[in-house]
Amino acid sequence: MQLKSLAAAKMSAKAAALLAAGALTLTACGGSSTPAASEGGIKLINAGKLTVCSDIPYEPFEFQKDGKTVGFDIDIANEVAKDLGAELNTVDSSFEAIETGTALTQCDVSISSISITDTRKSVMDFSTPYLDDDLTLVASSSSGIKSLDDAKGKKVGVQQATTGAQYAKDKDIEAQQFEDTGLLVQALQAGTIDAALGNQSVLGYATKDDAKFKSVEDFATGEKLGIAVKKGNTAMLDKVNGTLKRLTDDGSLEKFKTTWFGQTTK
Amino acid sequence: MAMTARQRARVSLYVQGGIFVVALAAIILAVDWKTIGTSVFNFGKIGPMFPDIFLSGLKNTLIYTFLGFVVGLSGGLLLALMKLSSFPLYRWIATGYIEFFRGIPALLVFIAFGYGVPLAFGVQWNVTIVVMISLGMVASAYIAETLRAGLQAVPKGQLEAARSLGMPHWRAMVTIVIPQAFKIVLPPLTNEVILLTKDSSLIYVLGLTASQYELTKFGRDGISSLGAGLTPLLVAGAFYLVITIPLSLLARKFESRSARTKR
Repeated sequence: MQLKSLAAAKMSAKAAALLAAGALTLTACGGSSTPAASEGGIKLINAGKLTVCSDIPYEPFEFQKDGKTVGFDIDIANEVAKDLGAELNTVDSSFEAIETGTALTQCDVSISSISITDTRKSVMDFSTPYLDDDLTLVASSSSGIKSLDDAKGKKVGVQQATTGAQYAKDKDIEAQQFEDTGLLVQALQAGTIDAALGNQSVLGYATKDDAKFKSVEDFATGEKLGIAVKKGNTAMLDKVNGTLKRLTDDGSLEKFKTTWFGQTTK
Repeated sequence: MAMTARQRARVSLYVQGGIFVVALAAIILAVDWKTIGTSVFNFGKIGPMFPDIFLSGLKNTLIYTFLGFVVGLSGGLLLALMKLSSFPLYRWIATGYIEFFRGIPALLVFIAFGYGVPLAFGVQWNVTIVVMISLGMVASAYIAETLRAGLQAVPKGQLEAARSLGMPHWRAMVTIVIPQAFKIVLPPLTNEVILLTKDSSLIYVLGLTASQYELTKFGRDGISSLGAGLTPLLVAGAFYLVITIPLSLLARKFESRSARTKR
């Protein structure tokens, strides 16, 4: 923690730095800006706003529809903001920034269908899980792929920096890495890959209206999604967990699942 | 308080230096060094990046750049000659092509060839071919303009002299004008290679397998697998400089050499 007087000096220093160092954006992500206190003593990065980092698009968790960001995660983010008495402000950031925890320098929380892993736990704190999301392998009927073993030696696509990518690596499959699910599904459509390995929720949603593709094998990886906050920010974490508990108890979470995934995931 | 011109100049220098020092101090103060240390300068964890960063990252960046440049140079020469042609249709085609490919982001060209063409024609081609074509097509638009300027910079008398010796037009071009033009365009061409080197990083959008990674993709993959924050990108950036700085020096050498031979 910086001292208050230092913080004031830092603010003016930062203004000068901004003038002088547009080019140094990579390194000059100024550290802790002085957060404004809000309801219930929670410190928010932008006063009166809950700033949420999310890698958009990742249907059906977060994506743009009619000029608005919507999705399963966004519904939850809205509830968290409501409980804080703050306005929701979503920031589109890359999944890499989210995964390395660097996103949390500019956001209060990251809600981006983030699977809870030990590696990630070392750089951020996670809420209680809000969704179980196992992996699935989706293939076109014409490819003849019936299982992951069939897919060896064929072209398998995954999304960069996801658990699906890691799973493929562990199973010695040399997968093609895609930037986002949109491109991954496009490549499946274009036939540049034979199969895609990723989370049930996302791939199921992306291919549910397309008879050409089906889920050929599921992998129970015990994967769970959580909301990330900056390491050590327990006040925020408690608040988020409180909201999640409320949503589970009053059945809203089930409602969101039905809205976005059709059938309820396990 | 009147100052002489010299005093004024000195004061202005002091002020500039002062601003620079203050700005630097401000940046150093504003940076959260602890966080930066673990997520940008975390060199303890990047061991696994070697030697693969040479064997796939650097190698592929060089290969993609080279392929793009070869296609770009041949395409660019063709376009430059078309643009200088006396036949209007050729000129229009070349102008249209150049304006189009200089005017859209290279990323979109990659997407068009990597996703659009397979969707439209049902063809499957491998990534190397897609890279060669898309990078090459972008490069040829830029190189065409460079070459056209070079061809026009060769004194008209050269072509006239060759023609009066009885050479046909094409032969005068190939043996007399183009070699001279080439010497003029060598420095800007080297700059073109530098641009291509950096543009080759956009290939990530095609979806690559580990053996096809170029430097940027390699660095980004390291972000998710090494737990050293953004450090792998810093390493990848350093490797780009390993390629581009020698090229810059080469370009400068060419420039001074062609300046010497000018009469």
